[in-house]
Amino acid sequence: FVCSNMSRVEYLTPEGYRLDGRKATELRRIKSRLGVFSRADGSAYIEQGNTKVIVAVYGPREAAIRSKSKHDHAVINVEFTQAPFATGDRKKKGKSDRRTIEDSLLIKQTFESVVLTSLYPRSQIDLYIQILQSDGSVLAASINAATLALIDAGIPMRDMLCACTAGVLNGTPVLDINYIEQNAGGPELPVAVLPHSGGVVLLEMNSRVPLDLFERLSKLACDGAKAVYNLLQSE
Amino acid sequence: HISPSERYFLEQGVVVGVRADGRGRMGYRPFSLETGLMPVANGSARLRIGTTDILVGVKAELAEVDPERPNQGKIVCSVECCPSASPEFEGRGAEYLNAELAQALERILSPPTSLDLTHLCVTPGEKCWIIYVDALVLDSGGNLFDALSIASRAALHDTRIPKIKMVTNEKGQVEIDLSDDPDQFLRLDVGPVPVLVTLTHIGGFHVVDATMAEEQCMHARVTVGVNKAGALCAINKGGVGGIAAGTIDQMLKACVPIGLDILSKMDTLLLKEEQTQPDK
Repeated sequence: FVCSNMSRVEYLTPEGYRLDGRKATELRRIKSRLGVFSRADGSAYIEQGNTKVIVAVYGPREAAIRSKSKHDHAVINVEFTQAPFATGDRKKKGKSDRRTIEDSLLIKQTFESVVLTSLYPRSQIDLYIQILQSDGSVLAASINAATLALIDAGIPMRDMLCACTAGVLNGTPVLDINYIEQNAGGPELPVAVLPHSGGVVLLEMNSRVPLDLFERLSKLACDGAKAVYNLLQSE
Repeated sequence: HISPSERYFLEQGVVVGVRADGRGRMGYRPFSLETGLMPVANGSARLRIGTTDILVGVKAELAEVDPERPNQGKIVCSVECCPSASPEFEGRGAEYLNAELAQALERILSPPTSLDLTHLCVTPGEKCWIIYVDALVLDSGGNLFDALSIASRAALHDTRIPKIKMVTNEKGQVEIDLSDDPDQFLRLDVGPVPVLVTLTHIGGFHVVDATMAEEQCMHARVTVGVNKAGALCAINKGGVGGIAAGTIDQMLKACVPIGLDILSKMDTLLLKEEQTQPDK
C-alpha cells in the first residue's frame, strides 16, 4: 500500500512541549496497586501513562528443579511476557523469543543484587511479569512493578529498586519516553537505581551516543528514577 | 492440592445441596464485567467471578480473504493462562490447557451460527478484517470455560473497527481510505453469540460454576454452548469419568435456563456500560 508522506514529526516543540504535552523532564502519571491476585504471594499493578504492567511473585518456595537451586542463596526466576494486544500491531510473542529471554535475564540479574537471597538457601523466588499495554518504558515499568510486588510478598530487599527510561529528542535529553518517542530512532537508556544509596543496578543502551551527552542522559535517568521512588513512596 | 477429607467434605456438600461457599447446586457466583480498559486494542473486557480474573483483548487487522469464504471476515482465538494464576502455568506448563480453552472459544465464536462476519469483508474476494480474540487468564478460581466465553462475548461487543474503503488512486495503486468521522465504527452484533455453561459432575450430582477446589473433586464435566434462543450450540465432555446417557440429557436440559440467565445479566451490564460511557 502507499502511505501519504508524513510531515516531519516535531517530537519537541521550540517551547519545550512533547507530543503528549509533557515537558522534557516530566514523568508520566504513575498509578499503582498492591495485592491484585489471590493466589500469588505478592502482586502489583502499575500504570505509567498508558503502559500497564502486572507482576505476580511466588516464593520463596522450594526450588522446582533441584539442579538449578543454589546451596547458599535463593534463585530468582523471571518470566517476562507481553499480551498480544499490548501494542498497536498484534504480536503474539513466543516465550522463547530472544528479546524476551534477554529482558528476563536482565531483570533476574537486577533483582538478584537487591533481594537478600542469602536468607533463603535452596529456594526459588518466581517473578511473573505480564505487559498488558505497551506505551514505551516497558522495562522500567516492569522493574517498578516487580519491586512493589516483592514488597507485597514481604521479601526482604536491600533497598527499593526504581527505574526510569531516558531518551533524546531533537538533541534534548528527555525522561520517560513513550512508544512513539521510542520509535523516533534516538537512543534509549533504561536505568534502575537504589534510591537511598544512589547506586545504579541496571543500565542498558543499544545506540551510539557521544560521551558528554551520555553523561547528561544517565544523570537525568538517575534523577528520574529517584523521582519515581518518591512518587511510589507517597502512594 | 486438596486432601481426602476436604474432598469428602465437598462431595457430601454437593449431595446434600449445600456447597462449601453456601451456594446451591445450581447457584452461580456473581460476576463483574468491565469493558474498554485497553484503549490500544479495538475492544477489551475484564471479567471477575470469584477469584477468576480474565482479560480479553480484541484486535482487528486487514488480511487476505479465505478462498473458501471470499465474502467474510475471519476470527482467530487464543488463550494464555498466565503464571500469575498458578506457577504450574510457567513456560510450557499451560500449553494443553491453552489449546483446549482456545478450541472451545473458537467453537462458539465461529460463523455462521454465531458471529456474522460478512460485514467484515472489505473487498469481496480480496481483503477482509481478521479479528484476533486474545484472552489472558490472570487469576484462576475455577470455571474457566464459562468465564472465557462471557469475557470474549463482552470484548467483541466492545470492539470498534474503523470504517474503511479501498480506493484506487491516480497512479493506479490501491489505497486505504479511512473514514474522516472518528465516531464512525463497525460494531459486531453479539446477540446470536452463545455462552458456555459448564456442569461439573461431583458425587453423583452436577453443579454449575465450580470453584478450583470443586474441580479437583470432579468426576467428569459437560460444557455446553447456549444462545439467546435457548438453543444448544456446542457440547463438549471433559474429565476422565463416564456419565450415563440419561444423566447427560438431564445436564443438557439444566444448562439452558442457566445460560439464558447469564446472557440476560450480561446484556444488562453491557447496556449499562454503554450508557455510562457514550464516547471513547
